[in-house]
Amino acid sequence: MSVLAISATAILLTACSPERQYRGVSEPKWQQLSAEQKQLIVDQAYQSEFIQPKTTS
Amino acid sequence: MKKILCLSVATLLLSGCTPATQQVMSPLRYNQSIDVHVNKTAYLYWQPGEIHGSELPRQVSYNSGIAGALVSAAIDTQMRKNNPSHYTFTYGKAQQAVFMTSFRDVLLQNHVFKDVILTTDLSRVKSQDVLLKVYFKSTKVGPAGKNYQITLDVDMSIEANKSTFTRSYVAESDGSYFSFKNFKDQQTDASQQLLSKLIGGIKQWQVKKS
Repeated sequence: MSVLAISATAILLTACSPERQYRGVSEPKWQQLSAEQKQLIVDQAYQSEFIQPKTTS
Repeated sequence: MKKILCLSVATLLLSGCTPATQQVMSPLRYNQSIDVHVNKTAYLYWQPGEIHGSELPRQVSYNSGIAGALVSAAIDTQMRKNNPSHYTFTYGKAQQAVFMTSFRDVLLQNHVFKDVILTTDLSRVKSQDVLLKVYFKSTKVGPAGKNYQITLDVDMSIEANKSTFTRSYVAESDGSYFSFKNFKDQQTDASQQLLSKLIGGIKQWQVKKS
C-alpha cells in the first residue's frame, strides 16, 4: 500500500510539471537563444499562421 | 520500501537536470574567404519544414526488483508524455534560427552583399534586391546507435532580376562510433557543412549570373 502511495505521489508530481513551449521550442532551448533568434522564430510562426491559417473540422 | 523511495526521489531529481536533447549549438563561423561581392541588398528568408527526431532510449533499472522497475517505468512513461522534447533529439526551430543568424552574419562579415537582412515578410523585398530563400525541407536525427547523426535536406533559391537559381543540398554529420561527437557537436558538424554548401551555391549563382 505504501509502495503504491509513493508511486502515485511520484507520478502526480511529474504530471504537474509539463514543459513550457515557445512557438514549438522547449523552454531550455529557448533560454539558449539570443533575442534576435527568438524574434525570428516568433515572426516566422506568425507569418505561417497568417499566410496558412489552421483549419478546424 | 526505502529503495523504492530513493528511486522515486532520484528520478524526480534527475528530471530537473538539462539533458543533451536540449542543447543548442553555438553560432557558426566560416574561416575561408568568399570572393563574391554583389552591390545589392539581400533578404534572407527562412522556411522550416519537416522535423524528424530520435527518442532517447528507455533505461529501466532492475536493481530494486520488479516493483521498482515497474515504478521507474511508469514514471519514465509519464515524464516522456509531459516533456517529450526532453527525450527527443531534434534539429528543430531553435537550431535553424541559430543557423540563419549565423548565415546572415557570415555573408555580412565577408561583404558578399551590400547588406543582408533576415526577414519573414516577403513584401519587404523590392525588385532590385536579391532574395535568398533557405527551405529546411527535412531535418532528421538518427538513433543512438548512429550517435544521433543529423541529416539536413535543404533547398536554397536565389531570386534576382526576375530569374531564380535553385539548388538542393544534403548535409550529414559524422555518425560513426569513433567520431566521439556529442549531440551539440553533431549539430555544429551538420550545420557547418550546410553553411559551406550554401556559400558554394552563392558562388555558383554569381558565376552563372555573370
